[in-house]
Amino acid sequence: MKASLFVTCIADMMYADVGKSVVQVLRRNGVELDFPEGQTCCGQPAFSSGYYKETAIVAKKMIEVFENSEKVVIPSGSCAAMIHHGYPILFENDPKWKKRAEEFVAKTYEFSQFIVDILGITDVGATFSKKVTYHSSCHMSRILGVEEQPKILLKNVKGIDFIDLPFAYDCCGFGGTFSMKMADISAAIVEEKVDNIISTGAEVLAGSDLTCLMNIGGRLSRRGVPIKVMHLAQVLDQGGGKNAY
Amino acid sequence: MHIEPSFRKRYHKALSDTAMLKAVKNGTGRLRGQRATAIEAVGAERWMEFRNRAEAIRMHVIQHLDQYLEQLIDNVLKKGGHVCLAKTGEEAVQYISELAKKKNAKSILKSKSMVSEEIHLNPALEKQGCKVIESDLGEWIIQLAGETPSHIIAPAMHKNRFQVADLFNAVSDEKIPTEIADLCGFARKYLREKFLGIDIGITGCNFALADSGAITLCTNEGNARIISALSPTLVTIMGMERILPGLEELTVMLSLLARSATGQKLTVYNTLSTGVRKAEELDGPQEFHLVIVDNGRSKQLGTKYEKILNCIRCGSCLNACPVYRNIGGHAYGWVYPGPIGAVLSPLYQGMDKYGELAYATTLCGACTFACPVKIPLHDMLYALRNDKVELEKKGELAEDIAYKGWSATFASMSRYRFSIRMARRFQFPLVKAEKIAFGPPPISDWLKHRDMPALPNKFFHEIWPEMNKDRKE
Ligand code: SF4
Repeated sequence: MKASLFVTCIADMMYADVGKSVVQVLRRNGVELDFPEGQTCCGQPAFSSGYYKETAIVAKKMIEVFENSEKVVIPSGSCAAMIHHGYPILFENDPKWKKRAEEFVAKTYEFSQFIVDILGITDVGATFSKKVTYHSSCHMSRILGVEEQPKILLKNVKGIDFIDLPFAYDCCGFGGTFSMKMADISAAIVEEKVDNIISTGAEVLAGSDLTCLMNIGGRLSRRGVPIKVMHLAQVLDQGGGKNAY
Repeated sequence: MHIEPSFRKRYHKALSDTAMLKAVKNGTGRLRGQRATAIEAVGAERWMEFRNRAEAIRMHVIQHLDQYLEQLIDNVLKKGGHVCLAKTGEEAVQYISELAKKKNAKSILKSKSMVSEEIHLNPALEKQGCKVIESDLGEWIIQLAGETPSHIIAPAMHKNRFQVADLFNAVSDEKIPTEIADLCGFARKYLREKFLGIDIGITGCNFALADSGAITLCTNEGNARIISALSPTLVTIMGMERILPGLEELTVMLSLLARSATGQKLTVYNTLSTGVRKAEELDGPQEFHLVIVDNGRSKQLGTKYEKILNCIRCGSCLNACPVYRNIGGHAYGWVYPGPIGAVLSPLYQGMDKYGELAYATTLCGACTFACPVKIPLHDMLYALRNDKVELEKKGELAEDIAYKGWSATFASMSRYRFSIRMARRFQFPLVKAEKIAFGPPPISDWLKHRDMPALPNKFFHEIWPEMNKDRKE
């Protein structure tokens, strides 16, 4: 199967390793990937701050960049949700772009959703003998409606000890610019999340949204808690055989 | 109670009030748990059917509000009641104040009304010499404390039992123990005495039924129904949207309201009362006044925010909201806190005063999913932010500039790549062991509590060609 990778700006600039794992896991599972030139960001930061006009400029670019792709895979629940939920709102009153946006939406999938629902794979052949818990990010589970797929994939990793996170669906407090604008409220919220994570006794916290992971990981790091934070793709990339470059 | 005009100051005060936060976390945690258990008992699928049905009922009412209002008013008048349709809060207050003057009222007993908080009724009545007593435990506690409610259904959620005992001790001759049962016992004894000799009783209204003019009150303490039975003159205040066509719709809404609010199948007392006492009846008011308050509500009709009028004030969205749980209700600055307040306050009271509340949310969507009548609260919060920026042109200047710059940069791959290369080059003064632990605004506040990873040596787009080169070999 052919698919295009929309790596997201955060993965591109801050978490290149996550992008690398995404590529490896998908290639190992038979996906022929390309990385269309011109991609930058889905537009979430501006959209959630209310700057729709500015968002539309960037969103149009992304629609163009992926125009020729058969399928688009994004390793971020909230960016996928932005495209699915936000783009139709952005182009509500612009029929031409609305149609192009809808075509983009129809072929765009979050990473785990793509593997489970499109590839029909529930075991990617990874091995990882660690205690792992999983944070369900809000936009991915509630807005995009992708909840079970990442957990199915994780539970099928060989050797994994999967522990449910108490209040997994509670927000981590990131909320885009919320975590900068109202950083102290955000800190109180992430503190609850971190306490819940610690209570599981897990060695690794996995997630499907890098910004949430950055927020949670940033707090764990500041508190000096030695729990490793990994994107789902990085867990699924473990022990899966040689690099699939 | 003095309310600090800046949201930032209000929530900072809240964040430092550990006793309040602990009480709010306990309270919301309990309600959240009870609601979850109730939904589990119903089954997720049936619960969704319930919600769809309730949403349809509420939308139907809102779309035919004029018609149902007319029918309601007709029926209330027919059954001997009086009706005041108040465009503003002041009009409502004036009507009730004049009535109190006319009745030469000294003692007024109240129960359950967020709308009366909204229109600042108590201070107005007290100013003209009436003694107003809140009869519900939660309301009475905050009245003693001189505060406003901090939660829609549990107004004193932010207080613990020791604080409550202190408040009670101030009005009691004996020392009150701090056990919950003793506190309730004292409140019951103290308040019951006040029921005798009321001049006017004031209640809120959960739903008014258009086809009969009946007022429905849902309570767990039963004080509201004592008031509606014993007051010679009864005033009921309702928001103009709190109408249902009739009993059939009421049955759906009652079970939904109770389950969402407290996880109960039904609230303990569900009272329906209609008009004035008839000749053969033993109780009920001799005079009944229904005050229907608009106060910004009709402005929402026909707008993208219309669905906000579907709200049945169950409080679920508050309990679900991570922001509410961590700052409590007073920080929101107006009567309605939490996600519903963050939408209602700017809509009813103006963007100028409360527009900031649209940013007091992580947009996590938990509120929308908790709402029994399916109000898309988080979508409305997005829309409010957009209104603020684009219609009112009131984005913060720095932000306006930042997002203009952002779109110019991110609309072009080369500009984007150039700018992140620059950022990587100039981040070095901030980086220590691949982490950033302090920095300038706007990330300075973020970094007070958390570390941020430094930009790595290689961006993904720099690795991608390598991944493909190896592949071809
Ligand atoms: S918005 Fe929905 S959840 Fe919130 S109080 Fe109103 S009805 Fe309840």
